[in-house]
Amino acid sequence: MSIIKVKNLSKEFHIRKREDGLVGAFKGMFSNEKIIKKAVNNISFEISKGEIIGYLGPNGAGKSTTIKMLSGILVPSSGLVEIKGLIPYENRIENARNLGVVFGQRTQLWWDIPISESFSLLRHMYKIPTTKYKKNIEMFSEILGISEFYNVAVRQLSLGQRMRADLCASLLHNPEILFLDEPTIGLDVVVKEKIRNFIKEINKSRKTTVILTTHDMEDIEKLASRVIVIDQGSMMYDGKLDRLKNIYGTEEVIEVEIESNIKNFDKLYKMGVKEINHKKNKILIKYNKEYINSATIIGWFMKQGKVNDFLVHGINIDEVIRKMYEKPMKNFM
Amino acid sequence: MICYLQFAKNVFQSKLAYRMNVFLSILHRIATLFVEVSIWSAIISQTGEISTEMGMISLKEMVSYAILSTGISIIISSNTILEFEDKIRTGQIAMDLIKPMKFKLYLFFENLGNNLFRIIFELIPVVIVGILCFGIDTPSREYAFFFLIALINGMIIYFILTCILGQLSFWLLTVWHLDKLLNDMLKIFSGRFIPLWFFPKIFIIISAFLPFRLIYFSPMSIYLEKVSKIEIGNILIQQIGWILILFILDTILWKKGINKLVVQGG
Repeated sequence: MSIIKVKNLSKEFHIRKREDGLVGAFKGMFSNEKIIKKAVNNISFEISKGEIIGYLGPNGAGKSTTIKMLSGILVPSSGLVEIKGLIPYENRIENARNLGVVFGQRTQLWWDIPISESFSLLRHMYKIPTTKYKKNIEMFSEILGISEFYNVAVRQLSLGQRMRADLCASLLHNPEILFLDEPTIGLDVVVKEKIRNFIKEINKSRKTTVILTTHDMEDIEKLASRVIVIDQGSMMYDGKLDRLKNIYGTEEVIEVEIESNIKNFDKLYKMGVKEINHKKNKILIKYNKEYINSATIIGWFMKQGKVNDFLVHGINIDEVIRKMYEKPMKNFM
Repeated sequence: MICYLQFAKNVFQSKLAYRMNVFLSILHRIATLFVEVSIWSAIISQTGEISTEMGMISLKEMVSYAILSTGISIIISSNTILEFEDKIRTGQIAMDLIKPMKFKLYLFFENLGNNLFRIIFELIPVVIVGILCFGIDTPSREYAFFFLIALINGMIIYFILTCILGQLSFWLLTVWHLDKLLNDMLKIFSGRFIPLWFFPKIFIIISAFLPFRLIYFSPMSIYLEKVSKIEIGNILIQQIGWILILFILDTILWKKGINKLVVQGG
């Protein structure tokens, strides 16, 4: 039974055409030429209860626009959105009761008042029973450690604290669906980890459906089993994360800095390395993770001489998507 | 409903945090009042009375008028227009729309909290100073009652007007100049500073077709008992008519605007 249904969804924005420079700016004042930008173009998917979906795509792909249509903030240009049988933009308020939303770059808390006050406001807004409210606050304090800054005004919080508070705020009313738009943007490793564990826990204990957009591949790897990829508004992939990685994401690059000069790389090629570029003593090696791992490569270099430094560039989601864009796999859709 | 009242409470609380602001605005209001009263005293003092389109007006009535209009401006002034502009220009409106609340009602109650704050920390001091220094006319109980109703209607008209202008940010993105425009229109057509009595006929006719006088001038002429009971009925009907017209316009604009909404900044 799908809880979210999206069919042939599109959203167009009209952008006033502007030319460069001062003269262009003047021209722009009088012309009414508009460019139509398709932010989301004919997307369809269905999501079942309890799934965690990684919603991926490069910047400007249309991820946030989709989330905003799902939350009823934006009205689609065409196509259908349905959440629990409701059309979000027509039943915005009713729909909002089922949702928790976190936009990483904005806060839903009130700027000037302590988060405890913000929370109690939300308690009234969502009509949360006192016992449930208390239980939730307790649980959030435990996992996310919000009790340290419970009585501090939002404007005085650090980004990581604010994000944790925002996440709590979105879950106080036990929503069935949670939209997270870049919830780990700009956070340090410790906080990221806390937030990931929290999302996992909520999903497990409450069967909350989660849609997560992020640029952090680790978020996706730790949380999502299914990913949907869009680029330039169009759907590129919908399916298991593993398969996506197997097809596109097995290539890694290792950067090695060595002291002595190595001329002959034949042996490395024989071991399964794809490509080697070297500038003086800096060497870039491209290889497929399925055939050879970084340890083997480093091991080989150590045998040749002293290794000063090395750096492994892991799978980058933007890279994966770029590759998908270069050779889309229509047959997988 | 509790939730909306909570908004009012929150605004009230966060305003209390800025103490210096409170003292300065009391000072500002009282200074304005003294200026107004001084001007009217200078104009009227020689004769004690002045003849207008609506009969003789005494200095005492003019002083009451000045205190009242300062009082009303304290109660109704709001920054709804700029709040709209800010929310739409920065895209912060998205965060209000994901919550299960009516956006306008939310703004209204925020305003209410603001007004309550102003009533306590600005209106009451100004009225006390006004009464102590100049004295003020008081109406009969009946007229006071109608004055209150007309005043509340006027506040609603003003609120919807600011909502309508604020909503234009859906299309224009910046509307602060409309805020200025509204204030200028109010200065001319509402009787905020100069009662419509003193204006030429043609001006009074124009202002009859506009809602602005219903915010200041009409409630105040009820307070000063310058209108008959029939005219009071007339004023209240006009106010309700304008509230309906503006409300419908506001609803249409909101529906169109929401369709047009582009959430700025990702």
